[in-house]
Amino acid sequence: MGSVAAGALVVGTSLLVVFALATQALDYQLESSLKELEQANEPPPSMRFTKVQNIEEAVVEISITNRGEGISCAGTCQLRLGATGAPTGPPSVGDFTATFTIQGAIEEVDTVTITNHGSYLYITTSGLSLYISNPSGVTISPTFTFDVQTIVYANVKNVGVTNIVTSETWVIVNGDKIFQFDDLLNFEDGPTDQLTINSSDPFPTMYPGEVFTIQHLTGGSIAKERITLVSAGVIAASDI
Amino acid sequence: MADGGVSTLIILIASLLISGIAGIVLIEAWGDVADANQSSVKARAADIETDVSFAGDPAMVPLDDSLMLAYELTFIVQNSGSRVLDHTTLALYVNGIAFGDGSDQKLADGSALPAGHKWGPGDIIVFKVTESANNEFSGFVDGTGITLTIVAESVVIAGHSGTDSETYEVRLNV
Repeated sequence: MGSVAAGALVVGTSLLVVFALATQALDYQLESSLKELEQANEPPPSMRFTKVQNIEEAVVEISITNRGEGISCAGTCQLRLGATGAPTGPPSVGDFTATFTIQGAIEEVDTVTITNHGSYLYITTSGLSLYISNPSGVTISPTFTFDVQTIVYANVKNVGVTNIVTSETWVIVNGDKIFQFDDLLNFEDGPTDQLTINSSDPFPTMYPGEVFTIQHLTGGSIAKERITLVSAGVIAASDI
Repeated sequence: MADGGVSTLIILIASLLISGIAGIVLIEAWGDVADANQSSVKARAADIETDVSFAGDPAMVPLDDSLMLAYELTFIVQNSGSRVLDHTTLALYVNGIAFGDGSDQKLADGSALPAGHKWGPGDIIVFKVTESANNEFSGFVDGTGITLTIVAESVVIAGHSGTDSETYEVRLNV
């Protein structure tokens, strides 16, 4: 009788082990299934243009042709646009402003930063030149050339709950010009008052609630009509 | 007692054999069920993870009417899923008429697709669709509204590929 009981115990135990293994296998499969389905169902991104504008005939680039000498300024050195031939005190034309730094013992122009592109749509810019608006001393005046184009600025806000990967997000201008989102975010010469965040930082991810500013130099003088942002199949579009 | 002991031993061995066989059958049966379940889930997951989307401006889809022989439409399409798509099996329909994977395919920067290009998640491809000699786009002008349908298939992974289709109402821009 004792051996029968022991046998029954062995049989029962082995069956329990079999059921435990089977149940564990099923639990594992169910868990991995749910995990896969959960991963496949992340909420889509949601973004919105909060401000869009064309800045027509804006000053987008300044080249230094002569760095000058013996330059000093009252405060930060500033550049304005004015009529050619009256470099020391012409009335400035338009809203353009830029600042520059001075380098070396000869006190020459180092780097120029545009702080306001201005807009010169109905003005003949070939008759204008850059001049130092707040000089306190100049031995040799620096000279510059500049380039005007139409710029599109757009502020985009992530209004959803999903992070937006900027390298997988695209900007389409007028339906046919395609740009990678992150390529339009890193710009150094933009006016600081256009930006909500430091534009010299890389922007791989746009987190919920963040606002990014796009700068698109159109390469011409024609204003653009439409701008579209596409991320994970979700489209945000706006008239400009 | 000796006979009783032998018969008990036989019953015990028989029970162990039967329970062992039953265990093997049961494990195999559970394995098959689990495999079938897993396969079904993978097929479903492939479909869920396969996603394709129109990625241009729905209000400004380029229509080129400057060509000598036929009108040409340009569609920007994004892989909005998490699987690599097969761009060669994409199917484009304009107002219900099939145009296969288009007459030309380019990357976002306008360059040609490299050989063996993998259409990864987030990437876009610009598809050109040129009408045939049947002049399917006859009557298309600036502002015409058309229906675009896109059908895409992901590449096969572990024996499974997913499919997705989207339909959009878009407006042409000359």
